[in-house]
Amino acid sequence: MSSKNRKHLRTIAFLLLVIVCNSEDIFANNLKEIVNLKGTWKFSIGDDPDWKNPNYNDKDWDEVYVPRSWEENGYNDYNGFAWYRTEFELLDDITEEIVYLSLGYIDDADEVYINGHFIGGFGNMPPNVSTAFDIQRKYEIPLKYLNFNAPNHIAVRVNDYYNEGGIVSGTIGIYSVVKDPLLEVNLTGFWFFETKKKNGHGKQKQEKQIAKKIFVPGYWEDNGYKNYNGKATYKTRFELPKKLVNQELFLVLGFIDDTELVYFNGEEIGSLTSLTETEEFNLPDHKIFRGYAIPNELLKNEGYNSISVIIYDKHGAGGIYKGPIGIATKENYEILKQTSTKEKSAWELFLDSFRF
Amino acid sequence: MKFSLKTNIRISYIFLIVLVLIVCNEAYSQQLKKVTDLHGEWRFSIGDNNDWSGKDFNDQEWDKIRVPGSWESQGFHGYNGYAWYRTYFWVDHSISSKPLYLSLGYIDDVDEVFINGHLIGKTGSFPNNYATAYDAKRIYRIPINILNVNGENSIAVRVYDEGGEGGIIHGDIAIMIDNDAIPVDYDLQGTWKFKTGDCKIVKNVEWNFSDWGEIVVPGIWENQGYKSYDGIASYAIEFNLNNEFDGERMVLVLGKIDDLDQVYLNEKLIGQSGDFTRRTLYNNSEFHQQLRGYYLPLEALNNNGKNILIVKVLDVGGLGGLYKGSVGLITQTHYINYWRARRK
Repeated sequence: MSSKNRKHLRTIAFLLLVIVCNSEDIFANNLKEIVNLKGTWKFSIGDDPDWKNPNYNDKDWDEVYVPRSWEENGYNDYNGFAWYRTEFELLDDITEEIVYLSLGYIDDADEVYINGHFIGGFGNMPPNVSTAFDIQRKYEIPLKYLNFNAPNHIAVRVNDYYNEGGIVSGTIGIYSVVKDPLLEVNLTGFWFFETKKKNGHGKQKQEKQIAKKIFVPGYWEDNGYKNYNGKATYKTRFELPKKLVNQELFLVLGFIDDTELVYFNGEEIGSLTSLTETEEFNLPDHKIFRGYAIPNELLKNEGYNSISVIIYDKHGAGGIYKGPIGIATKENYEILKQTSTKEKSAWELFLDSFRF
Repeated sequence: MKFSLKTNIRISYIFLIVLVLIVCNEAYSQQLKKVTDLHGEWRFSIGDNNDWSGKDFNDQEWDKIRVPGSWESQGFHGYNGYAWYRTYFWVDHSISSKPLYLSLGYIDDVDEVFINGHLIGKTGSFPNNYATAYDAKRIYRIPINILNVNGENSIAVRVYDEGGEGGIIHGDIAIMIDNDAIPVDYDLQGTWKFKTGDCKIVKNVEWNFSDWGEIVVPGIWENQGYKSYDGIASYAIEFNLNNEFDGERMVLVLGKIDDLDQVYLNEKLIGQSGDFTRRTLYNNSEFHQQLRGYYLPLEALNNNGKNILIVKVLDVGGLGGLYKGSVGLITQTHYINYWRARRK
């Protein structure tokens, strides 16, 4: 065709963006790799609910490399359903509270099963298809579904209806939240995410609905909100551990692009402006370490405490993009702040010059 | 000023047409391999009679004519109107399982082709709704179930020429195979019901196609009497199953479609290529290059009785319709085997 594939151009632009955003690896900072799942997986086109079951016999299936589009794996021109299957083992020394499966970018829609249990999916399956090709797939695996010292089975059902299909690129593996001894409550994980206006149109129209949960920390551009600028709200909640009652606590939000307004149990507790008023930083907004004192009278000792962060991003990548994220004592907050804003190496400064 | 503006517009139109032609030629060519050459002597008669389409019609008294070549250059100088061509070909067992095509090159102006009496395709539009298609290359898919394997098969070509040169003029005249085509288990290519415009999907109401036209699938609608039509058009076909696919998961293969489609089987939406609106094409302009294979929900297909398949097509410009590739039902097992074999 003489008309150049616009999606390819967009994909290239998007990948460049991803490379820039990930130059400081989010995973390296906040998540620990337990199992790397890049490599050969079992693969079959077609669709059958039986294929989610760990004991389904797939020994006659094809083998493909993950991540790579199925077109590049020899299934050129194929559109429709396909399943990917693999296994991994976990040792029982995993004490981390939260385990994630990262599947990178999947074109167009997926459903993921661990040991036969559904754990999540993005995009819409037929007949009302919609793509989620620009959403980085991360799934929390409930610990009750996992086997320790025994094989665990992953099955991924994928549907593609346009050009490239499959588990196409990105980070593939099992990750856990790194325990940060300085955080009393670790809030790394999925938050609720709301945008003011609809993002995209046509094929992307329904993404707002789909990506209403977003992984924090991370740029929203990596999670289906490509080219989104403006206002967005992050929300989460937590229960206060008993030992923290009556302590002076800080809400640590790491680094944010660009500015924010922070609410705790419905009351405003600060904003970037309030931070810069009290202290001179001499840094661009997205380089300022965020920590907000939580007024003691707002803390609920019983039930959930809610956090809501309204972020305004002027241009480029946006969001709560880098940790640590959580609740810390005043003492630990000071340490976190110092270690997080330590002087940068020449390499980091070089990478920063590519940032938005 | 006025004149130069007009000229400019004309030039840009010509440029656009040339561009479209280049694009189309690329998009619609496919890798075909010749298996039986049909160049040479055929039987020929001017006039028009439906009885001439059949396999058993005796054409021994007819004139002989060389194909390809205009009839004007072969003794029918100055003749315009209807004429028929006939010949026979042998189908060997070894090729009968492959997807077969009949290539007839370029025909001036309109034609309709029958194999063993079955209409397999038509290009252009006969009077009273006359439209020439002298510049369209004729490649017709041959449904396997109408062929006599290890036997003789008849070809009958009904041609209408409005003026100037007439007949099967030039190009490849042959039976061809497409090694890449999907070998469907239940063929749905052939004559479908067709109408321009949207069609309402109403549940539990007897379908009435009496005011619908006919179209051969696969084939672009521009060549079948719907020249320069853009927008939504509806295709329909009724077919009966007799427990051929008991307990099988099935895939509905529709080949390539220009541009978007929305597919209903027995009034149930079973697939579409993104939202069925022009907006879908804003970001993604290559939908006409996507191979359509829709996995049918288990209960969607009536495996013992009547099925009605409706395909709505939205074409935003240029050629439109279900234009290329196999059309039919295939079991999931056979579909997987096909794609695995293609991978090697």
